[in-house]
Amino acid sequence: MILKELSEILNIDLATTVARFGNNEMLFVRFIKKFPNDKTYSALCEAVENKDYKAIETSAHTLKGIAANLGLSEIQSFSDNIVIAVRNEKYDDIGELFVTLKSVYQKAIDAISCLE
Amino acid sequence: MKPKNTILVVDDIEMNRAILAEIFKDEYEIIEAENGAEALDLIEKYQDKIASVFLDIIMPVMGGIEAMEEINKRGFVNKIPVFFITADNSEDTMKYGYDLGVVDIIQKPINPYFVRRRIGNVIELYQARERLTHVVEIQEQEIVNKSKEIIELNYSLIETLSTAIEFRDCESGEHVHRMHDLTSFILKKLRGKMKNVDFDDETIEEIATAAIMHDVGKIAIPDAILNKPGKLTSEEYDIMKTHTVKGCEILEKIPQYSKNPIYQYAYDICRHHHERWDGKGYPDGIKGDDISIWSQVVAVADVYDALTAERVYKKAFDHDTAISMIVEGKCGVFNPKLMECIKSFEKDIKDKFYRA
Repeated sequence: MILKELSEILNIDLATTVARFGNNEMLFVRFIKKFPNDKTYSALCEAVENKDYKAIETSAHTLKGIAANLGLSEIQSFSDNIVIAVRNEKYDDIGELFVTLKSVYQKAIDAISCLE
Repeated sequence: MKPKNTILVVDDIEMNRAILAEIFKDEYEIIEAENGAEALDLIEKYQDKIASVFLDIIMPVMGGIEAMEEINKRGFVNKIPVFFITADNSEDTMKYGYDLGVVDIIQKPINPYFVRRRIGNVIELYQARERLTHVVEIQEQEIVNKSKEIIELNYSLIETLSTAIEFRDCESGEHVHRMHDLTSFILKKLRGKMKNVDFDDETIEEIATAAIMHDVGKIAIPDAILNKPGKLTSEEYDIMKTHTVKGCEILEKIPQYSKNPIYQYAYDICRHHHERWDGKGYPDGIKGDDISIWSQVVAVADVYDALTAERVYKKAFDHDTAISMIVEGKCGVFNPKLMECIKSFEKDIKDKFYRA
C-alpha cells in the first residue's frame, strides 16, 4: 500500500499532515510506521481495565495529541471524547467510548502495517 | 554578544519533538528533553544559549505546569520565552500558564507555518530587547567613565588653581596635597566617634577637595602683606583676615556654584576655617557647633600643617609639640571632643603626615 491509499482509508488530510512534518514525507512515514508500537495505547487499555481514571485521562490525552499530529482524525476525536468524559466524571460512558476507539485504532494499525 | 541559537523542545513523545525540531532545525540548534525535570537541567546548563523553550504540559516525571512554576521561580521568564505546546485546551490550564509567564500557547496539532511565524516573532523580540539592554549597559558604563573623567578634571583644575595661589604665599604644592589628605584622613577617623560625624567616602572626598580651596581668598591680599617677613601691623592683619571673605566672593562667581556640593563646602570652609570654638576666631566670631564640623577639621589640619612647616618667621615644630599646642589651645581653642579624638589617633597622623 502506498501513502496515498493509506490516507484515503484512514481519512488523513495528507497535505496538511505532511506539511506538519516540514513537508518531509519520509519523516512522516517514519513516525506513522512507529505508531502501532507506541506504548500510549496499551497504557490506555491497562488504565481502562484498572478503572484508573487519572491514568485514563493522561494516556487518552497523549494518544489524542499523537493521533492529531499524524492526521489520524478518528483516533484523535475518540480519544478526546474519553478525556472529556473523565473530566466531566462521566465514568459510566468510558466503557462504550473505549470500544469505539478500539475499533478505529485497530483499523488504523491494520492499514499502517500494510504500508510500504 | 552572540545571539542565542538554541531551542529546547520538551515533550515525552518523540514524534512531537521531531515535528517541532523539523520546523526550526535549519535556523536553530535543537536540544530535547522528555520531561520537565530534564528540561530544567538543560535550561540551567544552557541558559545563555537558549532562545526559546517549547513545553508540553502532560509528561511523566514532571509535567509542563510544574516545570513552568519552577522556570518562573528561578527567574528565567524574563530572559527566555516559553511556549506551551499542548493538545489540552482547558481554559484553566491556559490561564494558569499565562499567569506563570508563558508567552503563548500553541495548540496541537500544530500548523508549522503559524508556529514558525508566531514563535519566530517572539524570539526576535526577546533578542532585540536583550541587544538593547546590552547597548544600554555599555552606554551606562560610558557615562560612568565620562563622569569620572569630569570629576578628575574638575579636581585637577581646583588643585592647579589652589597650588598657584599657595605659591604666592611661598608655599609649596605640598600644602595643598596635605590639606586634602589630612582632612580626608581625620574625617574618616572621626566616623562613629563624634555625634553626627559619619560621612560616606564620596562626601569626605568632596569635603577634602573643598579643603584645598580654603585659602583662595589670599589671591586678593597684596604681596606686601602676604609676603611680609616681619610681624604684621594690626591694620595689615585686618586686611590679611579678609582672605576668608574674599575667598567666598571668588567662589560665588563660579557658574553652577550653587548646584555643586564641593563649592558649598568650599564656601563654608573659606569663610570659617579661622573661626574658633570659643568665638574668638574670625571673620564672624561664631562659636561651638555653629562652626561646621568640616570647617573645624580643616582648621585643625591647616594649623597642624603650618606648625610643622618652616616659615620665614619661625622654625618647624616637631609633631608632638604641634599636637600639644593644638590640644592646649595655643593656636586658638578647638572643639574639646574633636581634640579628644585627635589625641586618640595622633600617632597615625605622625606616621602618615609628619615631615621629619
